[in-house]
Amino acid sequence: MSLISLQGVSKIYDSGEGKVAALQEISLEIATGEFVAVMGHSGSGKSTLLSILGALNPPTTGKVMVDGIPVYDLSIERRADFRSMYIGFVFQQFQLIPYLTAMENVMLPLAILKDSHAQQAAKAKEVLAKVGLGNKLHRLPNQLSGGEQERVAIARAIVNQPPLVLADEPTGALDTKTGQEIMELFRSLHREGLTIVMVTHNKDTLPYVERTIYMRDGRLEADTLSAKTAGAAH
Amino acid sequence: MRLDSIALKNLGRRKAKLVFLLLGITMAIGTVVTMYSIITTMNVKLADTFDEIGANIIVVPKDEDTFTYGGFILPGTRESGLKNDDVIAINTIPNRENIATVSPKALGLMEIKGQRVMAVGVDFPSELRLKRWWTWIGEQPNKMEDLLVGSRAARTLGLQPGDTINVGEQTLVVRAVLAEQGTEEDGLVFANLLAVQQMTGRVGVLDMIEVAAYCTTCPVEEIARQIGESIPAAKVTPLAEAVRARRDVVDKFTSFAIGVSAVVGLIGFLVVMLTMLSSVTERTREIGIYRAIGYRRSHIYEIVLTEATLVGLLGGLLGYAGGTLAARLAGPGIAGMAINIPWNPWLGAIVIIGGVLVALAASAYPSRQAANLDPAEALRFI
Amino acid sequence: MRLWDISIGNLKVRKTKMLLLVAGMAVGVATIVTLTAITSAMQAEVARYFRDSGVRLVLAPYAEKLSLAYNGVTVAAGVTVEADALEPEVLDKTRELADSMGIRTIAPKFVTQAQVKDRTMLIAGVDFSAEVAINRYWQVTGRYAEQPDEVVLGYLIAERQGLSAGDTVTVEGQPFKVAGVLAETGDKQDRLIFAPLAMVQRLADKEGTLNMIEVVVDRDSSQQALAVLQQALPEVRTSEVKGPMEGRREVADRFQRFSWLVILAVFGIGSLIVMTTMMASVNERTREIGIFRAIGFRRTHIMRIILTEAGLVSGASGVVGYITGMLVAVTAGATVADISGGVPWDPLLAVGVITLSVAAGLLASLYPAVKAANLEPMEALRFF
Repeated sequence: MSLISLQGVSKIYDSGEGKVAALQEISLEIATGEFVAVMGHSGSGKSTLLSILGALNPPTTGKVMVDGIPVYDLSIERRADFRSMYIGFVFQQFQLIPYLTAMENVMLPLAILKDSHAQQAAKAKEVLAKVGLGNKLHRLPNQLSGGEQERVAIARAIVNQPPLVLADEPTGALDTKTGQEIMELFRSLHREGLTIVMVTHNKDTLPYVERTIYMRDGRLEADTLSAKTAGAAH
Repeated sequence: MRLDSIALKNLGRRKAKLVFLLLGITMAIGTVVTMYSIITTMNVKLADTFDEIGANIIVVPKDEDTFTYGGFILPGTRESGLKNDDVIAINTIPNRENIATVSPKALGLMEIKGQRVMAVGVDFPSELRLKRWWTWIGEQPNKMEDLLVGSRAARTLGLQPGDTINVGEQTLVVRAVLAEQGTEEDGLVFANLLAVQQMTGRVGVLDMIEVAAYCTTCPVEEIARQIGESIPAAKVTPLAEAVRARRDVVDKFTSFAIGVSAVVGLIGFLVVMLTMLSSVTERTREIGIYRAIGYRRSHIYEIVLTEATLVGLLGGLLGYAGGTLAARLAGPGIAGMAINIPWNPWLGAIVIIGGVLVALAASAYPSRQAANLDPAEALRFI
Repeated sequence: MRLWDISIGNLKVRKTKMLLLVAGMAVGVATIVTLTAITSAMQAEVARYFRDSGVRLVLAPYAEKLSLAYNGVTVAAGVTVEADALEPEVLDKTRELADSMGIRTIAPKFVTQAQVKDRTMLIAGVDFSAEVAINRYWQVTGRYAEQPDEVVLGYLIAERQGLSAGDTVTVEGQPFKVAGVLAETGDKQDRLIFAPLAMVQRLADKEGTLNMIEVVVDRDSSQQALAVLQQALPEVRTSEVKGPMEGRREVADRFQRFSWLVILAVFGIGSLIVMTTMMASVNERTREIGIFRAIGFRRTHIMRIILTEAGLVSGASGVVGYITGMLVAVTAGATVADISGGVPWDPLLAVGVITLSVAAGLLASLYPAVKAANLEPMEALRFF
């Protein structure tokens, strides 16, 4: 069954100097457990697509279903609850809160849930260990390297065990080696059953994904399964 | 980790930001407290000093008929219903704290060197406190046998400070000669109240009482009315000249004090508001992150408003303490007189609660704006 | 693109921020302006009260007889003493000296006794316009006498005789109209009848005779006027009337001095508000300064960008603050601070506060800008 279903989704921005269509009539299905890369030049609409998938950005027209839920039919507050339950976001440039430690940043999604502090701390430590930062729990973001900040951002995205993780240019700000390490981390998370959709323009990341969607000028250009990776993955 | 710990950590770990935030609010509230304390204290103190100068209420027997003006005298009766005890009665009126000085007077004729002179029996300490503008040559009179002689009387009678004169069976001493006043006081002799009463055989009888009353907390008309009630035999009148002078000078000070306090209060309000406003506006991006990871608007408000409450409380407390300390230290210097500024718990309560409320109100709007933004848009914000 | 354009660009793009910044600084400037305006208006009014009061001098005959009365009460039961008279030319000479001596009001008086109904009362012949100018606390029900056959009654006379404005009273057999009744003054004036000077002189059959002349002189020239009068009129005793006024003036002076200190404090506070607002604003831009440093700007370039901006913002704040402050003073000052004379628009104050605003703004942005420009670019970029 598809986890995500987009039907005829368009997004038109009104920039004042005329209307710009960022997305045009996108229809797309993504199944549970897929690892998808969205490729395209800047301005191709891939980031807009990601924010629409993440219930962050209402489309101008079209229908977005996640796990059978018509996301944009929800009220603005129910949509926030939806993000808390279903979505883990890894933002471009990490977007960590600068005055919170690694562990506290990871605990942020839990702060609005019913967990006790001990439960929160246990979960945060567990995921930070999983991303390889078990020994840097109490560092502030500016005391961490770029790769480490990316790991904290990933840990924050998965700490409340969402079914879907969305990542915006996760390797964009990293060197090649660190980028590969991060992709390895995504692959291992994927193998545990997580559905991941990643926006990228870095071809080096493609060997890690199962499926690649190419975008140009707000339209789907191609949608290919990467046989080699698919084979390696299963 | 709870939402309020996010607020605490933001304040605790961003020292520079916290310092600026607190500095702004503390300074605003501290200024309000300092200015308000010094100005109101100074205003009351000066108004009181003003009221102590000269009488503003005059108490005379009800049916006093004898009258004079410009040296022209009409005969009349000499029965007076005013008694020494009435001085005490004045000090027992409901607003007795407002009574500054009570100066009772008895009039009588004295024969000095063969001339008849009018003697005014006064209680010297009270009378001299009331007539602060008096200057004299000689020593300050205060004893039973002391005389203070008006300038013209001294010239006419040939009296010098230190002279001893016999009046009836008593021996009196000219302690001082009053400088020329340009009023009928120049032709009078001031003596001890009891001495005059004994000499004229009117023990315990007064002809008038001059009163200086503090009018800041109670209008002079009301004090006059209360005195009239406690002394039924007396006619009590506020002195129109003193009332007018007070209105033209002290009331201006008071309006100034109120005006300055109001303006400073408004400034404090605006500064706290602008400080909080810009502090929250800065956090649009951060609020976008919270929204993106699934925080509800109420969660955002909880974070921002917890912070505003803490900052408002802390700023209010520091501002109140700092402001009062500054007023206590700098007050006397600025005022140029010994003013005592108390720790005013009401002022403290008002500024602290006010500080929190203003901080909350000022944070509510921008946090609402930020929480209503699409997270995607908020994250693009710089 | 020049450095200037960076400053302008920043101001244009970050409108909300800049508005908050201008608002914050304008509040500081407006405080200074409002309080300075209110204070100077208050001071002017109090000063005017004392200036208008002037100094009172009394010209009276050298009566070596001593009066036997105090504040309207006499002990000389059964004795009637006629007051001494002044020669008519004393008034003429005083009038001649008036202009050169700063004499503002000359109030001649003649007092005599008169039969009113069945009682003997005192009637004072006065020049009403002069008397009203001297006794500024007088309030009249009805009006002051304008015709020769009109009188004004002291409060107690009216009360005891049951007379009010408009009634007719017979004095020495002649009918007079009561033009008005004085409000209670608390002193001997409550027991006098006031009538036009010439009328009272005629009643007593003593045309031209006076008992005393009261004179109000400008405070500055009072001692000189006293000396000149004493010299020019040796047959008359001229003395300065002393009273509570001097003591009250001293209290008022103290308050005036105090209010200047308040203004000084307000200047300090206003500058501090301007400075902290500016400092916080520049402090926030550490990261941006890092970017400029990273792309090769020299420290002086950065200083120029920041100072241009600070100058523009604080200049604008000064103007906005001055106008706002004056508007507050003009509207609120009239009601809250009870200023009747109006608040003047003072160009000197405008120039002063705008200069102060710019100076404080530049000074305040200097420190954080230097600090940020001295950071290693990488370090600056790490700031959130």
